[in-house]
Amino acid sequence: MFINLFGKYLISKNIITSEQLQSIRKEQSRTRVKLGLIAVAEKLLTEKQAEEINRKQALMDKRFGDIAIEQGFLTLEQVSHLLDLQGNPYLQFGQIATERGYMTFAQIEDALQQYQNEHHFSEEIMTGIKNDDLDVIIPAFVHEDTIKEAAGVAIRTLNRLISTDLWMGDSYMTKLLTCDRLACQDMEGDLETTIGLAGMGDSLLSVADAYAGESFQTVDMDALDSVGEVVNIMDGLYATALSEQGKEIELLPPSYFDEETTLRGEEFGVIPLEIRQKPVMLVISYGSKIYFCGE
Amino acid sequence: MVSNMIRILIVDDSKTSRKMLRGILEDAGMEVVGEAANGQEALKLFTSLKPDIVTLDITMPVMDGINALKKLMEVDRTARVVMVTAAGQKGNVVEALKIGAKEFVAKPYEVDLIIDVIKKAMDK
Repeated sequence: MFINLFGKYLISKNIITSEQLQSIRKEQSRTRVKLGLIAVAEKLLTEKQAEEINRKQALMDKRFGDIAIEQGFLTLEQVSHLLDLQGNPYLQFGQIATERGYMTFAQIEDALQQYQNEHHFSEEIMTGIKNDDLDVIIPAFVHEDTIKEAAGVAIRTLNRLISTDLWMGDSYMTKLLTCDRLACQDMEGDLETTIGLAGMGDSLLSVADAYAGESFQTVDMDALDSVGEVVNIMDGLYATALSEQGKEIELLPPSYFDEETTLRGEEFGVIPLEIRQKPVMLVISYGSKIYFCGE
Repeated sequence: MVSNMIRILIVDDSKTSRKMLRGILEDAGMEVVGEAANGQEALKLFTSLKPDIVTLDITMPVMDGINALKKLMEVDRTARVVMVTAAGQKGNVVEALKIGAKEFVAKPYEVDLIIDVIKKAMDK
C-alpha cells in the first residue's frame, strides 16, 4: 500500500513518472518475501505450521503474525524479528528509487514530509503507512465511524485474497452513485447493510481474474459472479465481527449488474480503491440497504 | 464395471465456486456427477443422480441451503450433505447439523480441507 499511496502522490507532484513508479513496483514485488517463507527459512516455523496459518488466514480477518502468535507457534518478539527481516516498504522504496537515480534519499524525505503535512497525518499514521500497516492506514482514509469496521474487513480481504497492489483514497458519503458494473450483497437482521464493489469499464476484471484464477475477456455476468464471491467472503467475515458484538445478521444472495447502474439510498459510504492499478469503488451502507436503478 | 469413485453433486448459485470446487474434487480423483444452482434444482438432481455426497451452499436464491437440506432429509434420511458457508454463518451451520448435515466447510475453499471433509462425511 505504501508504494501506491506515496508513489501516486509523487506522480501528482511531477516528482517521478508513472513508468518509474511501475519499475519500482515491479522490483519491490520481485524482492518482497512472504512472512511465512521467512519464518520457515529461519526455522521458526515448520512448513506444515506455515501452511496451517495460511489456511486459517484465508478464513479469518487476521494477519499471519497474529495467527502464529494465537496458535502458540511464534512469540511477539519472533514476529517482530521476522517483520524486520521482511523489510520496511518505505526503506525498500527508498533503496530502489535511489539506486535507479529517480530521487535522492533527501528528496524522498522532503516529499514524505510534504505528504504528511498535506494530509494532516500524525507521526503514528505515517509510521503505519511506511510499514504497510492496514490497521492504521484504513482508519486514516475512512472518515465515517459507522463504515470503518466493514471497510477494514473488506480491504484486508482484498489484500489477502486478491492483491497487495492496492491504493485507497479518502472515503466520502453520498446518496447517489453511478457505475458501469456492480457486484453487491445485502445483509439483514440486527443490522441492515449493503456491501459492494463497483467498477467503471472493465476495471472489476482486476478482482474477477485474481479470485477465479482465470482471464475473463470482459466484466460479464460470469466475471461478476467471481467478484460476488469475494464480496460474499468479505460479508461473511463482517458478519462474524458483528456476531462477536451480539448482532446477528443474515447474508442474502449477491446481486450483479452488468450495465450502467445508479445506486441510491440514505447516505452510504464510497471508498475509492485501485486494485492492481484499476479503479474500483467499495460501497458500504450501515443501517439501511442501498437500492439500485429500477428497484 | 462399478466405479469406486466418490460421486458428488455440487449445489451453489455461484458458477465460479462450482467450477473451483469441481476442479479440486476431480483433481482428487472424485467424480462430480452434477451441478445445481439452487435448492430446487438440487432436489431434482439428487433423486435422479443418487450422489454419494451433496455439497450444499447456504446462501442461494429460489431455495436456500437450509430449506433444501430439510427437503433432502425428507427424501432420504441417510443423505450425506456437506454444507458450504461463508464465515459468519455459525447459526445456520448449527441448524444444518441438527437437521442432518454431516459436515461443513467455509469459503474460500482450501484444497486439503475440503477433501478431508468429504472423506469424513463418507465415513459417517
